Amino acid sequence: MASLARRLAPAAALGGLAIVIVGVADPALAGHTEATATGQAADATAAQAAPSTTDQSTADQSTADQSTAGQSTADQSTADQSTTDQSTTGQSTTASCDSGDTVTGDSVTTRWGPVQVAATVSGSQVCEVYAVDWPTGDGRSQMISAYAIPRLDSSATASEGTQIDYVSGATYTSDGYARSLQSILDSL
Amino acid sequence: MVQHEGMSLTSQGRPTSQRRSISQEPWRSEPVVRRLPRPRASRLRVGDLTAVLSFVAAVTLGLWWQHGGLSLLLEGGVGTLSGIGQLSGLVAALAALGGLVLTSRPRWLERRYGQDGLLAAHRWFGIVTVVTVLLHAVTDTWAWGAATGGTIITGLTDLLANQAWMVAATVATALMVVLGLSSWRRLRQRIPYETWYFVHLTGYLAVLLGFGHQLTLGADFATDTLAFWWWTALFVVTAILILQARLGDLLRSLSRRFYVVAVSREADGIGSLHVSGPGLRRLRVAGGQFFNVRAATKDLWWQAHPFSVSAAPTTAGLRFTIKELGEDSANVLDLEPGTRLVLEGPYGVFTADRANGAPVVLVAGGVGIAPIRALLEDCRPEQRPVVIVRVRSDRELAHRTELERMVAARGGTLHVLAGPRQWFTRPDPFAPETLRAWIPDLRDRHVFVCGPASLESAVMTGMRKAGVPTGHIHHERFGV
Repeated sequence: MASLARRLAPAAALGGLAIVIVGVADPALAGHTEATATGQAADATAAQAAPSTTDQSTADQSTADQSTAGQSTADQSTADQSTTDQSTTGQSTTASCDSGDTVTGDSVTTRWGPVQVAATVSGSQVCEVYAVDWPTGDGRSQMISAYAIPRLDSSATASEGTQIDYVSGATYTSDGYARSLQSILDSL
Repeated sequence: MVQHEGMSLTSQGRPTSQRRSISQEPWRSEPVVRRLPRPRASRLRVGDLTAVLSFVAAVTLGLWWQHGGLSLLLEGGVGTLSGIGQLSGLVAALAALGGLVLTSRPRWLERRYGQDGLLAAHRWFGIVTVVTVLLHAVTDTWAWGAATGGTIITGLTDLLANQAWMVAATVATALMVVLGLSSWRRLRQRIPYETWYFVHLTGYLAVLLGFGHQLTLGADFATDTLAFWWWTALFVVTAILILQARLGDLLRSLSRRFYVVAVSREADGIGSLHVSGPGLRRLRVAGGQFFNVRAATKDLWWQAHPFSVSAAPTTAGLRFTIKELGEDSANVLDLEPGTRLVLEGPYGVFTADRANGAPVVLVAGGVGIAPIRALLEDCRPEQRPVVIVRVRSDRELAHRTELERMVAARGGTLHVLAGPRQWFTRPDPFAPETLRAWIPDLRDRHVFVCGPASLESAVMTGMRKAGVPTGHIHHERFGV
């Protein structure tokens, strides 16, 4: 029996270690808040995208969720920080934006799914731009959207809708975002 | 003829305990010893397997193509990287499932290709799995990193931290690499068999852990219910095939009761294990096949040894002829009569029916005499068997009188090449011209070889050069 234990030990150690690592570290099992938050945020926005008039605070909330959702690495949390900074600046410089209307742009179908942008406008001034729909079809799209959408939102808002920074690796989504935003600008 | 041989076997190898029970009941007529039936021929045709494999490959590639995999692959840059990742991932998944089916040795496959054929294929499937899994991991992580504006490192940290089942997939990759390395021949030789075997069983865990991320992340699954069901079906069918094969073998071997009835010495370092029991009743065996034999004792139950049947299996019992290799085989030859055995099998396609009744040459080296001796018993006189036995000395030749008697009864010839290796370097007994001179009708014969790898390769090369078609040369590796 002692020899059986000796022969079994490496396999048991290997298998046990594998199960422990997965159980502790895998987002699917460890109940990481990030993983569930992504799903909720995506759901919330999907529900929200259907009616075209949206409440801005909810939209803000969900964008914030979305940006915290997929990002826990160091460089991305700085990016997250800058998003907040810029949106705060955007709000403080334009006082008239407090009573802005919400305009929703066209839903643009891209290769990975639909992209739709909404903006709060005061007269012809664009106060804030935020996406209300983005590709969530599969895990990869969710991941890319989680990374790209906050960047597109902040660059569009900072430039008052005049330009966006194309996000590398999210070219289709950036393109859809630009076209949806253009449809808002055209309607003003 | 065959029945006669069976009778003579009992007079040689029958355990004394059974004899006694017969002699204690003299009013009973002598029980008739019959040969056990041979296994049924495989009904599987090569075309069936090709059809199933092509169907699986076609559907999988079709789904991939439909999801834009091909245009992604041809896109250049990150797209191509991602396309390679997808394709290698799909190949890895299919190869892993195929490898599991092969190693479960379902009867319908084993009867056609033999355990050694299945395990050789399993080895290739395993190599393909490890290589494509690594390719998939590197390209897809790289593509992910690039798509999110970073490098392969940020891609990896993103995936591990945020994506469901990615830690599991990474662990699965690591496990597969460990399994692959431990099966590399050079390393494998240094590891005790059972240690390697138990480690190898974690392959099941690796495949399961790898499945999760396919469903949550795979572009081929997440968006398409047809793809989801296709892959779920592939996994379920694989699981059913494995359970049916492994569990079936286990239950069958546990429900058949076998006992050691005697152990006998045959030659230097070679002994025979005589086995009988009620389990014989439903057994189908041919000469040349082998069983994985387990002794149900406290110390040995966890070790299975591939032992060849060395005589025509009869209702009186089976005889295995075994070489004392390590201490384990020696232990088996020390078993007390009455010890319960668990026999898994029979396995193998190294049987006389492979010759289709054509004349045969049987070549044995060392303990390879066991299956050759049983094969010879299954040969008919029309096959005029030429038997060549290579041993290091006369004292290592087991079953010599049986061989002589059986060869004579079939009008064949027996050549015993006994002596140290240097006696047989010049002339080389397995050189094509020597073989042709010895056996004039060699080209019309089927050749069966069993022995050490060096002997097998020498014989196979010599026979091929002497004009025997490759398909008429049969050999088989026993065990894993």
